[in-house]
Amino acid sequence: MKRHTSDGADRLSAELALNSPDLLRYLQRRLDTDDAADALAEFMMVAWRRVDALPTDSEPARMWMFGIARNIVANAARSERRRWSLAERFRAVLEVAPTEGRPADEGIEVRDAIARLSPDQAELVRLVHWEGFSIADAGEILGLTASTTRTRYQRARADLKAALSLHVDRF
Amino acid sequence: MSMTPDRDRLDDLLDQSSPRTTVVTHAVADELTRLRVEAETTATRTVRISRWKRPTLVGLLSVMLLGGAATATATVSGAWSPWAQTPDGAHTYTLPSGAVCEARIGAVNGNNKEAREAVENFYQNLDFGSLLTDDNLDDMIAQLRTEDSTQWNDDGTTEPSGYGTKHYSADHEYEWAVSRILGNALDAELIRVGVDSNASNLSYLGETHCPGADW
Repeated sequence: MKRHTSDGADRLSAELALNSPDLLRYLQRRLDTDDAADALAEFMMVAWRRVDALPTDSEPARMWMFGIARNIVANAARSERRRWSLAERFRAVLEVAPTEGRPADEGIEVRDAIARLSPDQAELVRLVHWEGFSIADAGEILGLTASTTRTRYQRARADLKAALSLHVDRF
Repeated sequence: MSMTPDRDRLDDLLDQSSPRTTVVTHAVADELTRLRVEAETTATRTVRISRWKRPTLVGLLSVMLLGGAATATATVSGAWSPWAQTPDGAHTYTLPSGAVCEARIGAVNGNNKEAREAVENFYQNLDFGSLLTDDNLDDMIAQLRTEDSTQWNDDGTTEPSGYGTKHYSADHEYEWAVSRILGNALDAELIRVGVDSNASNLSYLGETHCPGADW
């Protein structure tokens, strides 16, 4: 049985406590409710198995966790999602919990336009505008260099303006 | 939401396009805490969780505990998941390595009572031995070897898995054949009794403990 160092385990526990609500929201914005619950359970399992790779500082640790969540979402798009017994009760709680945000049908056109971008561009836009990451941090989560991130983000904006029939003033 | 220097109409549209999310009520926060604690326990006691891509009616999670301390803990302290304490079905079988597995199936969920009961009745009354014959297992293993399989790694990457790859495990293949035979039998039973599994959103859970298995 693998044992983690108590320092790493304590730090991961603290980071998960701090970031779990944001990670849940991240997953819910990309998956349906049941899948988000299972994806969060899977995320936590992966995070605990990789605890030895947890960055020491808090902000890099947060980005490391979003990087793991990003991989889980990407895999979910490619395969049937498994149901985790670990998430069984969580799914039931989420089913009846109140939701917040704009009406579900608002912004569909914009979400569709984002979804038509390349996967990396789309995720870049979502991380910046839905999760509130800076463009640089969003690029780092996706493993992109700073210059590539800037280029892709600007291209994504230009494509979105065209798709949404907005005036292209600065491009 | 974003802090770009020259915000315009597009920024507003993108910020406002975020889908709805759950309010983190006390109940949700409690569940997040429980999940965090249980995930640590599960992740540290589970030597390997194998996941295979397959088209199937239901989701089946196999938690395989390998040898030594982990197995002793499972046996002595009864480390089955809470739902597995009262399963709808349970059976044992022997892997090619000689390890004996105990599998428990239950926690049937779905939005149709008759559909749920059909699944529960199936497992409660199933003669596992009549399904898991050597001939049936040989046939299923031959079929599995014709199918593509994928292994998910901890870092999110995937690799081909199954027979003829570096990830091949005869024990894992056998365990998968058992699972597929039972799943197929359930599919046939639901069709026979007229249950629309998709409309009923049916799912169930399985947990398998195989001390000493060679995964």
